[in-house]
Formats: sequence, C-alpha cells, structure tokens
Amino acid sequence: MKSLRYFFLIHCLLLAGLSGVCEAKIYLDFSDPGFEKLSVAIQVFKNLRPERGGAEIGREMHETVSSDLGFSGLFQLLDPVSFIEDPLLSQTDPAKILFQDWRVVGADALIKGAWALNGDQLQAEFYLYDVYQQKQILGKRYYGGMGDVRKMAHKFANEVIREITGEAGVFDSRIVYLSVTPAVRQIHVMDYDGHNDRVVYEEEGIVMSPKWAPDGEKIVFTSYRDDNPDLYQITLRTGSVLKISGESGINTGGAYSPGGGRLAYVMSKDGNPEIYILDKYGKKPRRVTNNWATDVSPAWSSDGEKIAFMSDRAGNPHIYVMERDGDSPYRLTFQGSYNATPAWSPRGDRIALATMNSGHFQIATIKPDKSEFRIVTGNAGDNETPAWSPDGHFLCFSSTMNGKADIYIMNANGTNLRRITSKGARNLAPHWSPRLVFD
Amino acid sequence: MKKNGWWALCAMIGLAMVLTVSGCSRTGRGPGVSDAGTMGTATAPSTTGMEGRDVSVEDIKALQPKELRDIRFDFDRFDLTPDARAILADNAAWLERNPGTAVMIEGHCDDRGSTEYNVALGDRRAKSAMNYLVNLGVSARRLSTISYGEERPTCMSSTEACWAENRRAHFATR
Repeated sequence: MKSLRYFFLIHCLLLAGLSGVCEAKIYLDFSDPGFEKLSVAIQVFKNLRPERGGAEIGREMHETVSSDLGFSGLFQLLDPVSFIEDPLLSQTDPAKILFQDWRVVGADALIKGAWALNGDQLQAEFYLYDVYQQKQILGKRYYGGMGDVRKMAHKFANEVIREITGEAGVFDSRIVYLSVTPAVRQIHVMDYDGHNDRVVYEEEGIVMSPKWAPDGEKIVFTSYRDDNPDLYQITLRTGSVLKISGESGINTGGAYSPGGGRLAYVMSKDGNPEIYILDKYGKKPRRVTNNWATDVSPAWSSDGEKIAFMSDRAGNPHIYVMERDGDSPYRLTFQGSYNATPAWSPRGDRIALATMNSGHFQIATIKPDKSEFRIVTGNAGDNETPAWSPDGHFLCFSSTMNGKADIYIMNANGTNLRRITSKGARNLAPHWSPRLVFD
Repeated sequence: MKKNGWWALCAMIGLAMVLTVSGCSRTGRGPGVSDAGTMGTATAPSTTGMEGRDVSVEDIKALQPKELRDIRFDFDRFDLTPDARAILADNAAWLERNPGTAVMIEGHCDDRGSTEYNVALGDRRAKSAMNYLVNLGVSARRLSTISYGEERPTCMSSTEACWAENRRAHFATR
C-alpha cells in the first residue's frame, strides 16, 4: 500500500466500506525508498480578467509551480496535452469539477489556479484537490505586485508540500554563491531555482566561502580586500560590510551555529590553522581544536552541539566530528584519501562532503555514526562544496560535469539533478539559505 | 648573525665550487640543516675545497643569485624538500646582501583539493619557508607571510608538471 494520503484514504474506504474511519492525517514519508510518486495534473491557470492582459503571468506561475513540485521528487507531473477539461471552462468549486475526467488521465491530485491583474496589483489563488476523494484539500489566495509572480507560486508550492508531507517546502529559499572571472569576483544571491539572480558583493581580489547567517539577512565570507584572508559579514538590507576577524594569518571558513548565536571559523594566528568559536556577543574567540594538524571548514550539527570539520591529523585530509567545545573528536570518514567540506543536514541524520574518487571530487553523504557512506553524484567532472536545503531534502553543490563550474541542485539521494546557473563565469561554493530570508 | 653571515658566504663559495670544480660534492652546497627544518648543530664553516683555487670577489658576485627564487612542495605537503632547502639557503644569502629589503612570502597550492583547505595549506607552506629563513639568520621582522591557496596559479593546465609549478612559496620583495 502506498503511503500517500490519497491512496491510504481510498483504500480505507474500499476496505472498510465506511466513510470517516481514516480521518487521521497520513503523511508521505519522503525518505521511504518504497514510496511511489503522486501523479499530479496542474491545469493552466485561468486569467479571471483577460481584458487586462498579462498572459505571461499565468504561464510563469504555472511554470513555477510545476517546476517546484517536479523538483520535489514527490510528484509525477502529467502532460497537460492529455487533459480533458477545457481550462477556459475551468471551475474551482469541487462540486462543479468533473473529477472523473481527471481520474481518466491518471491524476491522483489536481491543481488549479486563477489570477487577475488590477493595475499593477496581482491577485492569485491556487487550489489542490484530491481526485479520488473529489474534494479540495488546500486553497490559498495571494496579493502582491508584479514582482511577486514567482514568489506567490513558490509559496503555494510550499503549502502543497506541507499538505503532503507535514512539512512546508523550501521553494522560497535562496542560494548564495561565488561567481569568479579573471577580472572580478562576485557574491550572488538567487532563488533556489536560479531565478532572480543578483550581485550582493563584488571586488577584484579574492573572495571565498560565502555562507548565510541563520537569520537570512547576513552573509559571512572571506575576502582579501585588506591584503589578507580576513573574515567579513555583509548585511543584505544595507549592503554594509563588517570585518569580523582580521588576525595575522588566515581567517576563513565562517559558519554560524543553527541558532545563530555563535560563529565558528578558522584562524592560524597561533601557528597552524585551528578552529575557533566566538561567544554569543561575537567576541572572545575560543580555540576548540589544539593540534599540530590543519583543522578547517567547521560545520555545525543541526542541534548546535557538535561540529564536523576537515583535518589532516591522520595524514590525509578527512572529516572529523567533535563536541562544540572541542571534546571527544572522532574520525568520520575512512573512505578514499581526501575528504573535504563537510555539511551537516538540518535533519541531523547525514553529513554531506566532497570525496576524492579517481582524482575527482564527488558528493557523498554519511551518517554521523560513520555508517552508510554513499556517493550521490555521477562520475563526470568535479563535484564540490555541498550544502543542504533548510528541510534537509536537497543538496546544492558546484560541479564541472558539463565543462565549466556551475551550481547544481538535486535530491539528497542524487536524483532530480538540475543545473541552476549557466552564465559565463565559474560559479562556485553555493550555500543554501535558511527558510526565512530577508526580502 | 655573524655566524650566519659565514654560513651564507660558505653557501656561495660552495655554489661556486659546484659550478667550477668538477666532482665537488653537492652536499657541500648548503648549510647543514636537520630534517625537522631547524638549523643543525652549528659547526665552523669549512673551507675545505677552496684550496688550489683563488675565488675572486668578481667570481662570487657573478654566481650570486640575482633574485629570490620560488620553492616547490609535494602534493598536500608543507615540509621542505632538499631542493627547497637549498633554494632557501640561496634566498637567505640574497637577503643577507640586501639588508634593506622586506619580503612577503606567498604560500600557493595547486587547484586540487578544497579551497579552504588550500588556503590553510598555503599558510603552512609560507610559514615553513619563513621559519627556515629565520633559522638561517634572517630577521623575522623582514619577513611576513600570506596564503593565496589555489587562487593564484602560474600554470593553468591540469597536468602534474603544472600542478607542481603551482605548489610553491613565492618571495615578493617590497
């Protein structure tokens, strides 16, 4: 039996011959290897005031919802060519929808939408129906401006995911990354799907490792703007740049704890590169590694209690895990000869990393107890710097699988791979935002 | 400092001998240095090998390194190879002759490996070179370090020869 709520409900009805015995909400288990995708029909969205124009708005919202749900990995999108119902005669009242026409085309779920322009104001409403139950599961109405077309669609898609899995989608989250040309290095922020790309920082010198603060309003990064690798933070709202650490030697790898209170980073001021943590006031760096080895790239666990990091203390670079005060370090990876850039899933269950395999980096994930090491990218090119989506279901990373370095996203198990940058520069070091992002 | 001045002179003369006297051992070239990267037990500079030939001041000048030379590193290593130590001895000698010059030691890596790890590795390479020069008697006040990680390659192709060229410490005068 499928774990989909829809099928569960219909099975209950058939088996029990009763209505209402299965009212408890059953959510789809995203990670269940046995789950089958839900077939969804997304009808063309209806322009309620066609005389006001704006046909491209409906197309873009439809494309956005389709793209989001397709990427989720939960849905099989049905081809609109097969649909029977005339979208111009589309009704949103469940009592007036001919669900039989949607069952015939194989839809488990149906999504409809309608929208209207009012001057430069946009109003849109979206609905999700259970085709078997013949009822509306979700209805949302959004108001906004012309610039909110995709955002409205993303927010609805988030709600659809919440309805199916019990946890909202992350389609209104963003990705920060580095764009590198010989002349200039830029920090970009874009929607998770590559749209609305904008430059938030640029300079001619070296910039590296931009990472979100958990408030979604700040980005910490390393820059050589003062002729040394120093740690900085940019506030997106104002564009103001603050130097966080400019000690002699390196100041790199800034990573905020999930609660946002503490910044872990790397300095070499005391000799070799070690990991330090600032207190909750952003002061008094405390050294948490004390080792002759090179310790870099700290990554917090979702509960903020542990830190994964990269160290060559056993000879080759590998991933280690320690308590946040530096206690009880243990070696996490024994695979290959070079493992780098750990990233701890927000769900806490896995750590992603880049592992050298036949001279090239691939993305792998492993459980914190060292079990279930899995390589999740193919063999083409170098695949580096993985980062998790805020729901822990997806990974973004940089890859040269198609030639130049670009940013890709995929399901954490390696499926649904998508390239989301393509412009001329080398695009590197992506980091996925938290759910809350400053607009 | 005086002792190290002797070392530098010895190194130069040794180099002259290598180039002018057939069969001279290469081990006579640089100052004695332990594997740990620190100066070995100081011994009086030997003049063995100078007999039988007058080395003029002009000869020495002609053979002196005219500039500071890069040193190379093995992959994912920051310890100094014998070649690197020999070059550092030459660089120390150059610095001895150019007392007004300050040097920024740049640590560089090839582009394999992670960016952040390579910045750390470049830092360690630059500091390895600096510590060695200081042990050769160069004042630490004249030296500073910066790591460029893999960000400033001199060679752009993905070949072992090119990677080896990029794994370097560079000595920039200023």
